[in-house]
Amino acid sequence: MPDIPMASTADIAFLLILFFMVTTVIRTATGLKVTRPLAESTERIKMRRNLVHLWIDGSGRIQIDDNLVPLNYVAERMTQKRLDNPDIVTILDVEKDLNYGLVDEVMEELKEAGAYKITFATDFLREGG
Amino acid sequence: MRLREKENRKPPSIPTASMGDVAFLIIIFFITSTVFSKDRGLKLILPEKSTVVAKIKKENILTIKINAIGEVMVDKEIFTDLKMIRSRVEDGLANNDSLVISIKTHPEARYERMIQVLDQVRLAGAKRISLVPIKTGG
Repeated sequence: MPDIPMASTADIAFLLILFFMVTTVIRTATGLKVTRPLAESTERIKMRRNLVHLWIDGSGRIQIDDNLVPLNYVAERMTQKRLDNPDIVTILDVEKDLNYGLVDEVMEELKEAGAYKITFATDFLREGG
Repeated sequence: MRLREKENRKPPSIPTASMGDVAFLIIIFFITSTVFSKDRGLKLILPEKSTVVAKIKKENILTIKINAIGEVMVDKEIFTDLKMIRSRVEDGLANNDSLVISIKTHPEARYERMIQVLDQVRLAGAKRISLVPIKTGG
């Protein structure tokens, strides 16, 4: 009767472990609940290490990574983040029914903080779907 | 005498048969904790906040206005079908390489509408996009 070599199962298993360790990004924060707008030209964001997440929910609350922040402190928080890592990209995860005015004010704060690279979080919109 | 006996015993070994079990346990941990990145969106680079205003010739700007109730206007012409914006911008880009698309949004317009317009402009292949709020009152 053929046997499965027990000694090498560990090697295979450790190989899988390495794969999962490398690909795992342990979430540091869970954000506010938002419904993202849909867009056809949505692209994947490849770099993950330089991301700063910013959520604005339907009631206008703002969360940056793991802190709720009032509007006038957004610039200050973002400046700190930028000093830690100058290459940050901010992901704006904004409730789709929100007024544009607040989004604009947040973007002004980001400009003030020097965080110029932003991404509007959207979901894929499929043609005809 | 018992001490002597101890020195003669076999060296301890790690059981290889259970190595796999331990390893698979760690795998299970990583499988369950892995969150494959779902981050995606529309990239944009904000202009620097400076006192010097970059002057762009009027003929190089295509203004798209979104008013408070979400109507979209390109060059004084109302577009009810947002898909038409794409071809309008494509035409503009074909005529003028250095065209800057300026999206002026009313603060009371819905964010979703701005994203829809931005999406169409991006689909048209515009690289230079500027987001401007429409100032109300003072």
